[in-house]
Amino acid sequence: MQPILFELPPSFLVTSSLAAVLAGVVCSMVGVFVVRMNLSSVGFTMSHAAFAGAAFGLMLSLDPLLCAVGFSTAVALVLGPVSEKAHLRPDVILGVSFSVMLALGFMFLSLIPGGVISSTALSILWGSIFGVTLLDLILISFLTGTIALIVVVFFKEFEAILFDRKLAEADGIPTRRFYYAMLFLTGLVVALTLKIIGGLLVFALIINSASTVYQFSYNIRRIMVASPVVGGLVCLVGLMFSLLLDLPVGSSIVIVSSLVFAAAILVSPKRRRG
Amino acid sequence: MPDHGDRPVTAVVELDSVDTIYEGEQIPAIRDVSLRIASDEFVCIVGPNGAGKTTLLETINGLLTATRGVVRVLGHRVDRKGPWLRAKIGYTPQNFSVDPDTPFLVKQVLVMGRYGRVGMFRGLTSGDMSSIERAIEMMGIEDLLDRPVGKLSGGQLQKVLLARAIAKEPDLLLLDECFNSLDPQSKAKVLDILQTLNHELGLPIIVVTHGYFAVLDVCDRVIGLRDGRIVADISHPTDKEKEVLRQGNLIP
Repeated sequence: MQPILFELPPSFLVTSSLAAVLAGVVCSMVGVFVVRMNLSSVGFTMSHAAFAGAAFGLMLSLDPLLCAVGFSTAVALVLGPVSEKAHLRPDVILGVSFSVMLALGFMFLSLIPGGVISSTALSILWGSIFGVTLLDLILISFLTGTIALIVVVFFKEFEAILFDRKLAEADGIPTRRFYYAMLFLTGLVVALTLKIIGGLLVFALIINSASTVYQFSYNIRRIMVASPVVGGLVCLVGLMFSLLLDLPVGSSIVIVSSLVFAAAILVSPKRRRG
Repeated sequence: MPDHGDRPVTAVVELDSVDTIYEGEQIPAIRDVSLRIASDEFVCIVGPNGAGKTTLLETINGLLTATRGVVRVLGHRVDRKGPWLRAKIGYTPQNFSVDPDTPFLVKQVLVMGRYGRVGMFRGLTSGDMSSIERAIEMMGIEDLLDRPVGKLSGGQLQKVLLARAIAKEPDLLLLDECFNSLDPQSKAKVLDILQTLNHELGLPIIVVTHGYFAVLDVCDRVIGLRDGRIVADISHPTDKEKEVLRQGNLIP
C-alpha cells in the first residue's frame, strides 16, 4: 500500500504543512516563556481545559474552537492568580485541576447527543490536521504574528521577567500584568492549535522544542529566535513521518519533538560535566 | 495628575508607624517602625537574624506592602506609586542566586538594570549605555560581560548585581547584605564606591549588613533592629556606642 503522503492532492499537503509549521512556531514561541517561568503545570492544565471546552461545545452543538478558547483562557485567567495568591506548589495545581479538566472533557464527550463519539470529538483528542480550514490557518497566522509583535514591543519587560521576576518588579516593571498576559496568550495558543495537534498532546509541543533549544545556549535572545525555528521544523518532520507511516499527526509530531529533545540532552554542552 | 496625598520631598524615606506582616503570619515582621532618612544620608541597618532588616528594606521599596502606617519614598506614597518609585530605586536582594543553566549573559543582566527607568515603548539610548559602561568600569567587571550569569562565583554575581543597581543611576540605593560572598579586597572596594556615590553624587544609601561592620566607620547613621522594632538609632557611632550595639547583640 502506498503511503498517504503520495495520495494527497498538493494543495492539501501545502495547507497541512503550513498548519503544522505555524503550530510549531507559535507553540515554541510561548514555550520559551512557559519553560523559563516554570508554568508547565498551569499550561498543561490549560491544554486539557481546551479539550474540555471543545467537548463542551460538541455536547451543546456550539463551535468547539470557540468553546476551547473560552475554557483555556478562563483557566489561564483564574489559575494564574489563584496559584500565585495561594502559593500552591505546581504539582498540587496540576493534580487537582488537570484531572478535573480531563474528567469534564470525557463527561462532555459522553453526553454528546446520540451517545456516539463522533470523529470531530476524537479529532479534539488526537488532532486532525486534514480538517484544517483556511480560516484556521488565518487565525493561527494572526495569533503567531500578534504574539511575535507583543514579544518585540515588550521585549525589555519580558526579558527582565524571564531573568528574575522579583528583580524585575524591584526595577519598576509591573510584572503581574505581563505574567497574566503570557498565561492568557498561552491559553489562546493551546486552544487554536488543538485541532492540529490534539488536546492530549498539544502541551508537549509547547515544552519540547523550547526545552531543546535551552540545552544549547546561555543567551535568551538566541533562544527566543531559535525555539520557533526548531518548533516549526519538528512539526514539519513529524507531519511527514505521519503521512509516510500513516500515524496520527499529533502523536507523530510529539514523538519527533521528544526524540529531538532526548538527542539534545545527550549532546548538550550544558549537560557535560568536568 | 497630582497626587494630593503626597507631600513635597523633605526626606528621601519616611515611615510612620509601619507594620508589615507576611501572608499567613500573625506577628508583624516589622512593627510600629517610624523613620526618616534624609536625602544625603548613608544609613546602615544592623540586627540579629529575623530582626526584620530585609522586611524593612522591601517595605521601603514596596516589594512588601505595609499592613499599617504610611511609607513615603522621594515624597510619594509607595502604596500608590510603587512601580514608578521602584524605577528610581536601585536594589540588590540578599542571597540572590541563579541556576547554572540560566540563559542570560552578564551584559544582558546589566542592561536590564535600566529597563524600569527607561520605561515601556522606549529603547535604550546612548546615554543609557554610557551609564551602564560607567557602572561596569566602577565595579571592575569588564572581563565578565560575555560570561553566562549562572557560571559566576557568588562574589562575582554580587558585583554584577551592584553594577546593575548603580547603572540605573538611582535616586536611592537599597543594598541587602551586598558584602556577602565578597573577598576582603572587594568588600573594601565596594565600600569605597558607596562612599564616593554618597559623598560626591549625594546618593542616599541604605545598607543592610550582618557581617561587614567596616560600614559602621563610614556611614552617617546606624539603625539597630530587633524583633521588628527599631532599638537603636545612632549618628556616626563612636567606639563606645559600637560597644553598646555589640552588647545588645545587634552586631557581633
